Amino acid sequence: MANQVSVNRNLCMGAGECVWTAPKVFEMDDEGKAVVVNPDGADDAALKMAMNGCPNFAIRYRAGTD
Amino acid sequence: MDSVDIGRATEQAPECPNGFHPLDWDEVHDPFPKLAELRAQCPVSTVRRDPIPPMKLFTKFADISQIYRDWESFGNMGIIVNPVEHAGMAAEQRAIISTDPPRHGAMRRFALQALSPAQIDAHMDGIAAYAQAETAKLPMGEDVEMMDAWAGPIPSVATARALGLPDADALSFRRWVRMGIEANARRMSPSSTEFRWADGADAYGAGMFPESADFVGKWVRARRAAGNPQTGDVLSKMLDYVDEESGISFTDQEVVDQLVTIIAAGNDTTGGLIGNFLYRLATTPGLFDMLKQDRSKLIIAIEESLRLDPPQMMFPRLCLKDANVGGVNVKAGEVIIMSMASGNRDEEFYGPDSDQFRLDRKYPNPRHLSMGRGIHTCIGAYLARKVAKVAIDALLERFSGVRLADGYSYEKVLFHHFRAPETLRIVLEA
Repeated sequence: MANQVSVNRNLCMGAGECVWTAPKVFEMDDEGKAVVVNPDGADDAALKMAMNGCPNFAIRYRAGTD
Repeated sequence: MDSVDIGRATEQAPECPNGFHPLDWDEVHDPFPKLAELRAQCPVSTVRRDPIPPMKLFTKFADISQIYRDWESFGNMGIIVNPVEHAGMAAEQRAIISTDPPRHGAMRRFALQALSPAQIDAHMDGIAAYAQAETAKLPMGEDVEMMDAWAGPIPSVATARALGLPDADALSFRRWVRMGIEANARRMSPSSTEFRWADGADAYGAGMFPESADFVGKWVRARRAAGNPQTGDVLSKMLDYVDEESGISFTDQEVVDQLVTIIAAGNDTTGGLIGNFLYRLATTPGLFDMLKQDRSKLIIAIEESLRLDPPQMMFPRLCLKDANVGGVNVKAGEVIIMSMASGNRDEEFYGPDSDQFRLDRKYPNPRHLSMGRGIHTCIGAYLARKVAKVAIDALLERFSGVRLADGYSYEKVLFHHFRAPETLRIVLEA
């Protein structure tokens, strides 16, 4: 099963840290908020870093099963 | 941290070759030429002014990004810079900007009760209407001091509204915050006749703003005396906030201190952003007309202003463990300085025209260092950007041009951390 990655738009402030950490997973949209484009675009370590590095705790991540 | 030799001498970074010091008013009034020299010749240097302990100054975008993001190696220490003062504070006395995880996370989630983007969005129509009304009061064709008349009050009111405070109180907060910051500037800069490098805990955090703390304290006690009825407003939620993730809750005094931090941080910095932008508008030929005709460029113009004129020009960090940044070893206990004013103009990151104001830059992400990076990204950044946008939008809508008043020249505010005009006298054209 694929990774489950989501961005809470009520909390996302557009800092861009997740895009920096995992650019294949996250992109900034026209409103300056992060969106998930490919939940499997980075390894577990990078996804955890993106989740834990979000300044507003907007990212939720649960690893998929192979 | 107890075993670390606080403020010990720096190692392996050359002495600063051009005498720059980030706390020296004479140096930071126009810091950009010397910072450009350092980026080219000595990107990590040791800066000295006795009796301030020697500190390493980082000037490159990549190094500053690394330091910001590595919160396990580089601890928050607010704006005070003095490691002895920092060490003298109990964890519960420290403002969020002087706090590291895990307590930092609890404080941040507490502050998000008022400052989350969804909360701010709910206030923006009202804040935009306020900005338009204040802009409509400005005289046309006259010499007007815009920091007190316009650029300062709008973010003060916006911050007050985010906390559920009346507009009328916001202007008192602005005055008190400016007094506190100026007193601190006089104490902390070696250029000042009142310079005093404290050897123990001293005025700090909320203690820097006694009038605001007194005012907010009365307000919190009144709510508490009434049993803090849950009316759905922000303050009632904040007073009874328990952080689910950590189990941390806050005493009423800690709530007061955190509210004062939000008030202090929300006043002068965003006023500085709007003032800096207005100065650019008045001194950059064609910029006003271009933005008036195409408001969609305003967002990128605000980012370019933040990049070139960071309202907060630097932040210190206390090294919590040995690390290597930019090829230089830093040791636990050292104080280091991140110069966002320099990193934001790093030619290696932005290209050879990095000091030019341009709206057609293909920005890498993130666009600049002015709002910090990583988990310490400014929690008020979302509000600050929205407020600056509605204020400048109102100005572009109402007027046809803006120029500096006769005889005006830029004078930076005293505080060495800040870049903003102390006063900004301009003429608005009908």
